[in-house]
Amino acid sequence: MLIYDRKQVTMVHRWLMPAVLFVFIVMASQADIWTEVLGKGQGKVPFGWSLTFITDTLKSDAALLTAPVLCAFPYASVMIDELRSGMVKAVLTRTDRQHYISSKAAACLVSGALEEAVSVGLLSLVVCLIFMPMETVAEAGMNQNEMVRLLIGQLCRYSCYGALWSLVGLAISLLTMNRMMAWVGPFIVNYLLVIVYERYFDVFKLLYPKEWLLGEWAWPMADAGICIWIVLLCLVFYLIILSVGKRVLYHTL
Amino acid sequence: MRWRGNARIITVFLLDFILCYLLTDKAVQFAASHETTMQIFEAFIWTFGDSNAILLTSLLLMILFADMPFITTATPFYLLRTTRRLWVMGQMVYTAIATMVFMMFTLLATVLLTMQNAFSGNRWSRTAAALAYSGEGKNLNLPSAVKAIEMSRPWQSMMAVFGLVLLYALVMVFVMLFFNIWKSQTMGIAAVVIFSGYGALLNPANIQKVFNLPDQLAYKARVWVGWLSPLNHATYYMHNFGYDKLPTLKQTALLGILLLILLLSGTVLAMRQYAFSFGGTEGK
Repeated sequence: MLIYDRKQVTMVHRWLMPAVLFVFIVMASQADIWTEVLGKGQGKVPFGWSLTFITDTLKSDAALLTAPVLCAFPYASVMIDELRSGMVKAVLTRTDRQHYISSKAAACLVSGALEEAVSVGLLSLVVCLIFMPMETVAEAGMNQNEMVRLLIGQLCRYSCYGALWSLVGLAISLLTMNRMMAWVGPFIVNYLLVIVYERYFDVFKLLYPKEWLLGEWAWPMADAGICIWIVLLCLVFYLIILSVGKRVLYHTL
Repeated sequence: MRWRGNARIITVFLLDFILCYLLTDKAVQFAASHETTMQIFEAFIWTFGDSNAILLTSLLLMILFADMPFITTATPFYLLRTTRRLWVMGQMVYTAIATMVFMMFTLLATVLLTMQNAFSGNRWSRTAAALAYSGEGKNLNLPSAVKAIEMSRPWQSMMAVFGLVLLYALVMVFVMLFFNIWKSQTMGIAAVVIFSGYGALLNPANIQKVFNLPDQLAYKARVWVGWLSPLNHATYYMHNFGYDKLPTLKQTALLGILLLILLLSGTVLAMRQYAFSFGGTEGK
């Protein structure tokens, strides 16, 4: 990854704003549940409620709807911006085209994964800070190991999911040479895949994006299996971006 | 405006397809859970019998026509050869045809999305009967009204719903065009937002809740709102099927056409004062 891409990707504002938006949207969608719990008061919430609420919220319709859109916000449109502003010409005097495109794809992948991971992390933090102190004390033999394992699995799946859709945004924006498509593209492709599976061809099970986040089927190696599958798809999109990016640079410069 | 390869146009149509999927999902799930089939237009009739669905779809038109009036690098040359009035009439024809194409696509999308479990015959399905007579339609926000089912058949209902939604969409885009020409592009978008917001706020259920009206007054409010709100004019079941004093389909059509004539005449008149601005990068 090029140094300036690395610096840009790690800038807090790039992934924090979409993460805050994600938390706001999913919490608003579950408002009827948590407002009822808030009304119960201290010590009345059952032990383990917070972690169960987090894992359920991450499976809610609002989370599934917003995740593919928000992951593309931090970095998916950057290559188009650089092509349009002419900055790419200055960058290509110091590096070659393949390295430049690879760097953009890698930065996009990292930003998407980081954004989703921060979203899940922030949601967990907010819920735990507010509701965990209200939970009843655990009795002997009770623990939350299984819930923590589930949450870590969801965190990994969300990260891979964010990486993939961010790459999809970059690929579509390059194919259409349109900045807006970097953000809208992942949402559209995501829903077209959902429609194809739910309404027409249920043989395309592996390409059903909701399942990547829900993880309800029996996947080999469970969460790791889903992550490996998404990483393979990322690889395919990396190759597409490399091919399309070279063509775009050839026509632009 | 060129449609071929235009990312904004493709995006709007794809978003419309996705919106149709999201809106028809309840009906499809209901039919699947009851193991019944649907008539191929029923999903369209129920979905666009709801004012919120009409509002959401018509707002996509706002994206489609965001750059009205369509000034390109060729426009100065057109204006050398023709008059302002003819030019704006061309814009109107394009806008009307584009709206019709968009609404046809919406109808086609609902058909494509439900065709797996649907028949084309002109009779109501068991799903429609279950929704209307069990009252589950109300819970699912699918307005499969008994009065509508008893008074007509699916093909006729589809044509009525399509006509109403098309009329509403046409009025909305011509409001946008009129304010674009008369004032500015920003005012055009603001006018559409106000127009849609006015329709959304004048919802009988909202009015009953806000003013805490008893049922008798709520009925009167419903009739008033049925006449005053353009969005309710576009809603199929908010019409008079011989039971109440709501507008009939003919009255709605007449009002809509009158409004369209007013807007078109206003746009032609406003065109006299319109100040063209050619930045040199139009259409890029």
